[in-house]
Amino acid sequence: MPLPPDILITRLRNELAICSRYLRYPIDLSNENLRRFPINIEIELKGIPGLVCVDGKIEKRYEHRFSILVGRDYPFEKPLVIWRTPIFHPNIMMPEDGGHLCTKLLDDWGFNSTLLSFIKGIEALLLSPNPSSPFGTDSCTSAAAYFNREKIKTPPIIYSPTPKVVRSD
Amino acid sequence: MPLRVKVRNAESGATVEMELEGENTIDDIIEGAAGYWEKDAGAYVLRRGKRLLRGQQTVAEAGILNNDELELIPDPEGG
Repeated sequence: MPLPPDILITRLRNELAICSRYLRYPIDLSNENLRRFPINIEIELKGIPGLVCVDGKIEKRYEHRFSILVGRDYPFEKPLVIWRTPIFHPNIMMPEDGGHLCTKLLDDWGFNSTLLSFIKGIEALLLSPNPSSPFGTDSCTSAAAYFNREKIKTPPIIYSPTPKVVRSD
Repeated sequence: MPLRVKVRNAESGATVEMELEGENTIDDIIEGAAGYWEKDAGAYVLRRGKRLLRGQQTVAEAGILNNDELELIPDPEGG
């Protein structure tokens, strides 16, 4: 049985406010957007290195975007997560292949799982791929072969300065 | 001399303080924190900043310092 709508919306509003503080950018919490299910939440990860394959060359990318689609049965039901930016990772599909993620975070989703702990887990997944169990797409199997072959040195993580609050009186 | 660290539960925001010796492992910390919050230790990992700490590493090997803040997050293992 799903949560009563008002309780679900309050929970989502609280979760998104916490995510917004953690990610350091505003997430739209307007009433209208929080009442039409599935709710589409766009998440941007900045400063976390992830690999991309450009013209056959492996490069680092520090900005990534994915969508979290929250259904009416959240949090009993896991959200649908779609990766939106190019990625070279054994457990994350390229957007054109579907953008799906294979991670314990979704497999083990439960009532106590939160969007914030999910986002933190995705940051860790970007840095620590599991090449022994890739998706079957070309990019994922290539990424698995790459991570199995190369000794990967984790690139630096970039922390942007805390945004300053500017008041105009 | 023992180190004192703070472990934060990413799901609830709650924290617990822990006293560690250099030979304690990351798994020991996970077990301690997960046990305190009555969670299954196998379903969690520990990170410092955004980097994951590996289970069999000792506190000394992982370079954990006095007053560090560590975070218990659900295991994101892919695949």
